[in-house]
Amino acid sequence: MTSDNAGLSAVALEMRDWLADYISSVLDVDRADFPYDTGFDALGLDSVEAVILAGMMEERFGIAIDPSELYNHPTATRFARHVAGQAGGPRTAEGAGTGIAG
Amino acid sequence: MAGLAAAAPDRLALVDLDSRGQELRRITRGGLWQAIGRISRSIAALPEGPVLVNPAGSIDFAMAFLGALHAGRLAITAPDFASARLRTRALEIAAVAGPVLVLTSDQQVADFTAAGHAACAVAALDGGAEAPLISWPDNRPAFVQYSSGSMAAPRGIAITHGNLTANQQMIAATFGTTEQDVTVTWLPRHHDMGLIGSLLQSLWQGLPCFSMPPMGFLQRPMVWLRAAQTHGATILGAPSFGYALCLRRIDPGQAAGLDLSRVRIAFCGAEPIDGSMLADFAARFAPAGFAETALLPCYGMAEATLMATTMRAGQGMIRSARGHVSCGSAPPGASFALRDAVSGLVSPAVQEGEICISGPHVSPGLWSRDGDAIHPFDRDLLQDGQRWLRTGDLGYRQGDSLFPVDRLDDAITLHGRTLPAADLENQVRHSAPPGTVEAVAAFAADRSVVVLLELARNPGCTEEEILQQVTEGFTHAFGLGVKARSVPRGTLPRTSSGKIRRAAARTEYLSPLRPGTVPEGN
Repeated sequence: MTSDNAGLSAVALEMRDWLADYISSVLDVDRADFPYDTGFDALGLDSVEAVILAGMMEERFGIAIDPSELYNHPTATRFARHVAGQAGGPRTAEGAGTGIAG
Repeated sequence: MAGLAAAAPDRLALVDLDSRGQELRRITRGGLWQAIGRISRSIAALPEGPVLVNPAGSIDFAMAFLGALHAGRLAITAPDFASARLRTRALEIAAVAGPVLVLTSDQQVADFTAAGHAACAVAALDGGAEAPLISWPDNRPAFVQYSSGSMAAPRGIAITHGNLTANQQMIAATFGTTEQDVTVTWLPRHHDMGLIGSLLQSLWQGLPCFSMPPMGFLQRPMVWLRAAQTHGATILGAPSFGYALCLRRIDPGQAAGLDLSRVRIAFCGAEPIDGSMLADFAARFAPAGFAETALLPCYGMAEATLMATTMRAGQGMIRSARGHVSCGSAPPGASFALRDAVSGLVSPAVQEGEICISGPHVSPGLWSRDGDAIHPFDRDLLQDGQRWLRTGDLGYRQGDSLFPVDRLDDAITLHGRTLPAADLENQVRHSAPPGTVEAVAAFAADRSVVVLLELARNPGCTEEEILQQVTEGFTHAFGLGVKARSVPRGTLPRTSSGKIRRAAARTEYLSPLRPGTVPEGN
């Protein structure tokens, strides 16, 4: 239940907040007391919902996300740090293209 | 199929797309047919036993699957390793089925080998001469599809060559599929809808089939519809959930930018069909030229090869006054009828009851590795010399049209009436103040209807008010008393996909401790 910043960058914090917003909207997890360091499995995020999440996060942040990375970095804090680390560089044309409408 | 390939060998048969819709590989009818012949010859040289097929990509899958069938071998379908869960599943299926060979993709060979199976990539068998075409008898098992569920009690549904031919003809007759059609699909090939409805129907009728990975659709549903536009799709298909995901992910502005005007069939089956959701889908994509009459609800299951009943192409969706979606009538050569709960008889005169199906498309039973035997289904019924398969689904009929309602196991029989749990739950949601009920489970217990509710966090009124309105609305609608109870959020038992498990909720409710329920008097 960490509410500290866990040493995350501003981008990573924004992503962590987005993950908490999204997961608490589809699962029975309290947003006010979101468990940032609990495994996605323990929160009840199944494999289909995880892939949908990856797609929505791509669209929101304009980056490419491999859904299998959710298993390698299975908490909101760890996944946000991982994705923000990748997104630090310039956005690729491919990544920006996943706005999907484009 | 051989005839189609001979008539126009250069016509496009299959195209594999990646998860962004880019083309990976394509093959003509002639190219595919020749590869099937060569692979079939290699398979025929193997020791006796089934062949497991799970390559990624529709082209390799078609070569492996049809190669096994033409060699007269039983094909076992399994998912490719698109996720850790599916990889585990495929290895479990291999362990249960004991294949003589696993025909797969390069990157999946090592895992099967490590598990003690003989495995190779499809391309490794694609050499040498073609096997001559053999017609196998109708009653010979062609393939086995394991139904979802625990592999501790595996249900391998056997489909014969005759079942397959019959159901392909039924689909072709009701969809009116021709060589002028085009399919763009994301449906997994190890399940009946993707295998029978998309891949094999396309090959059977000679229309090109563009396939993208299921995970790609889940992540980016727009890729599917954009590929449909690019390739001029006339036939789309998905379970209810797929159309719902498009609604959730593709906003009206994005939808309006598409061109789906060539789509003449968007079939929908495989789970209870949400009519208002489908109507919303049609409305959202109407600016893209999507015709509401393209919606084609159907009803099917692996035991029926795929299709059991269907609306006809161009009819659109029909809903009953009770709000259920018509899944049309049985295709030519097939029948459906309902089984009366009291008499146990199946008859066209029964208006509501368990859905039973009959015809040349119905599987003979479950395949067992022991002795390579087929065991008839427990739910088979012989009446006046006709074999009926009880589906376990509750439905009602209006004329020749079937309206599936719910799983029978979850229906509530009380005071001589059979009430679908889903109907009772919908009434609960309808009776409660809007937005206050998050989840509900209805079942019969203590000789009355019990409904357990998970309430929204900030419902804007008291729990007592909500329960009172639910009780009043319910009694008014059904003339039955009801015990309505609130339970803490997240405590109703659910499946991994979030569906409420009513039977488990009932068991918990009836247990002495009644976990998760508020005791009487509170």
